[in-house]
Amino acid sequence: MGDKINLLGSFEEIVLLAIRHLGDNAYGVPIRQAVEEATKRSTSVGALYTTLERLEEKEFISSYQGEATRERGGRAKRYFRLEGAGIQALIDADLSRRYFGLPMPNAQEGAR
Amino acid sequence: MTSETRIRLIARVLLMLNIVALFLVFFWMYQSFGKGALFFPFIMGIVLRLRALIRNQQGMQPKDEVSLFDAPVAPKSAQLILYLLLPKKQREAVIGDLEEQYTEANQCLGKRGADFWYYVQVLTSVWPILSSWTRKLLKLGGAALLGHWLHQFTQR
Repeated sequence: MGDKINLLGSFEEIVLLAIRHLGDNAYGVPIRQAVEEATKRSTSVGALYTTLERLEEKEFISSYQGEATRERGGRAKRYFRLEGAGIQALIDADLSRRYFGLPMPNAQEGAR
Repeated sequence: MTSETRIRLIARVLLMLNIVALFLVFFWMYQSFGKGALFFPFIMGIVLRLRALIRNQQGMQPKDEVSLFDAPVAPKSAQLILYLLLPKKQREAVIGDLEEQYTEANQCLGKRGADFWYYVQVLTSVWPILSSWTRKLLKLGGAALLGHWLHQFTQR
């Protein structure tokens, strides 16, 4: 057997993709908005930060403190950045999905 | 440190002193009046609500509608819940994020609607935070139990 791949939860994967999509502007508020738009459901800030913390523990992402603004009550932003392990985890998730070589099911199949 | 941050820090210290003072008053009342003092917070709540109603009828603005920096201020009690529950690393970012969205909610929904929105956000956030704590505690407890069993096993 080859090297083990990093398995991601579906929410973790969406959060990682949102961070990648946002680039340099990846902090709590836009990440949450992007996740909500992608999943079409509301996400609590607690759930989001718990996931971000877990991803940081796994070294998939890193964080750094940003600027404080007046509308945030003088509190600093916490920006997130995708790390090499995180990119690898996304690649692994995509590879494991393609492993069986089947096309993704379409809406007609789902309606059956 | 900017003057804005300094004032916020002082306000935070004053808030904490307020809470400590309230706790001491309540402790003193409990010592003096026994279990009857448990009604004290309820009575205080009713008195404050009546005061707000009277002020409202007189056309006076409640104190919390006038902000220090002309920006809407999120409910302090909800912020305190987050402050106590969140790990130190997340605290500033989470409260800041909610405050930023609260400002937008205040423009769309008004103060009362935005306050309600804020409380909903805090309450829905409490469960994931608590469950992550519980998971960590269970892991620690499991490790301690395993250690205890191994110790007992090697003693035989």
